Amino acid sequence: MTVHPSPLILVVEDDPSMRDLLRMILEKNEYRVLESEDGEQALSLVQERPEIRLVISDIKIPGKDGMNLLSEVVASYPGVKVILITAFGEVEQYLEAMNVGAFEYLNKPFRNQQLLDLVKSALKS
Amino acid sequence: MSYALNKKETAFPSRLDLDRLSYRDLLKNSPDGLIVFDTHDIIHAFNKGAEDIFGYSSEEVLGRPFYFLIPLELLDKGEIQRLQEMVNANGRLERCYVTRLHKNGSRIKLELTRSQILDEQGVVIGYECVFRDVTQSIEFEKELLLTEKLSAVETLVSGMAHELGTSLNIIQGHSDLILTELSPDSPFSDSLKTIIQACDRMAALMKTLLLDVSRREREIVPLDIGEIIRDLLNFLRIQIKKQNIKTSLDIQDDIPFFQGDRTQIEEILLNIMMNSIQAMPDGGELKVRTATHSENGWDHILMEIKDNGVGIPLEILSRIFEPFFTTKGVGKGAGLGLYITHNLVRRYKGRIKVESAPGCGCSVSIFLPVGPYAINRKEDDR
Repeated sequence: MTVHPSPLILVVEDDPSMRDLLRMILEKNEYRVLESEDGEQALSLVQERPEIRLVISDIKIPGKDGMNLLSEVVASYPGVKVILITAFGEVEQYLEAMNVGAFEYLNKPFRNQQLLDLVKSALKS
Repeated sequence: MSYALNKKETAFPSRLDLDRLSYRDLLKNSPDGLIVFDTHDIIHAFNKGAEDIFGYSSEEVLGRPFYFLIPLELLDKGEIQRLQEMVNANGRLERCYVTRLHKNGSRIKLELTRSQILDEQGVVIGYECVFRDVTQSIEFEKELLLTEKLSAVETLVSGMAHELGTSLNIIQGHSDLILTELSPDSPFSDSLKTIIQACDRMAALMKTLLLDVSRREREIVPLDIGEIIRDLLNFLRIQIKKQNIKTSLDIQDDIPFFQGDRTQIEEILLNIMMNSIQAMPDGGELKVRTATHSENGWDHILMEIKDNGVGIPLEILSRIFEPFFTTKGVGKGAGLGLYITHNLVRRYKGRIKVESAPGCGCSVSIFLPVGPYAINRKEDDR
């Protein structure tokens, strides 16, 4: 019998406490997590690790910002879903993210369960 | 003093020679208002500008004392004597701002210059008032000032949103994680829940401010005001207990549901309750009451929050709804709570009444119109 490894998720966030939180929420729910502090590094990781199925990224990150990371991932890795996180985004920013191809857009502060629900549906789709 | 004004005076004192003054010709069609009256306060000239500003024709006013142009409460406060003394002190009163009554009953603000008219012997025989209507420009200036303050709020909130949003997320998220690890009967699980609730409130406040900026639609649903009040008091219970405050609730069971956004209604009530609690640092009583109230043919929900705290001095009472107005000292409050409350209540076409005096506590009544779409509680229950 083959045991399927749990899905691998890349978390992109420059604030270490926030990054820790995202990792802990996900690991507690049996997901495997990779972490990155900036957009450039995140894109290389997506390139190197084809088992990454989901990227959860803050919009404001050093290097490539979240929106750029989103467009590049969508263009080159159609199998990878992206959830963008921002602090109370504007409607325009939300629409832009969704038009570019984000799976969803999450406003800070969000509840842990909100994130988990989104992750679940992103990995299912 | 009586201000019965309908009877026309017939005798014009002959000493006031209008032809000699030639004001009539000079200012007949001026957009500025001109009124000439004698020492008995009888109007002798009322030009086109005055007609436009006050809404009366000259035929309606000539020969009558001018009292009907002044709001009654100002007359009672001695407005006429006050202006008279000021004019007589220097012979002229320049660019004074006064409130007057339009024919339609509305208040108008005038910028007024009043001078004595003297006869050959130098005796005062009358007065001339030249004025213009500045109601619009005063309102405009007020709006402008508010807009400036508002844009300061927007900049501040938008700038802080990212940092505060992240920090709140960290506090709330980690608390959530610990809570799931803790046994439900741990004495700390309540503390964690309080932290999480506080984060929710903070997040809601920031969202309210930001939503104001982006003007997004609220989620309008039927709300049980009584339930909201109970939830809020529960949320505040630790502070209430700590300050040794007694609460008494008088929630009317049959008040209709209110159609509104829950976060906004919570915000309105919470700001008032917080102020009441802060006004009772050494204990006291917080009374919250709801009732239905009819006003101008509309049903209103009345929410009354009463404390027996330190009270508000008169000079501060008129300023409590201004943005950034605070008495709490630097770092203790941004002075936005009551400003937000006031704006939200106005958005729901409601009003707030505040009654207070130093040492006598404070009573805040919020009236929210239920409107024609009110959902009757009994119908809803069926």
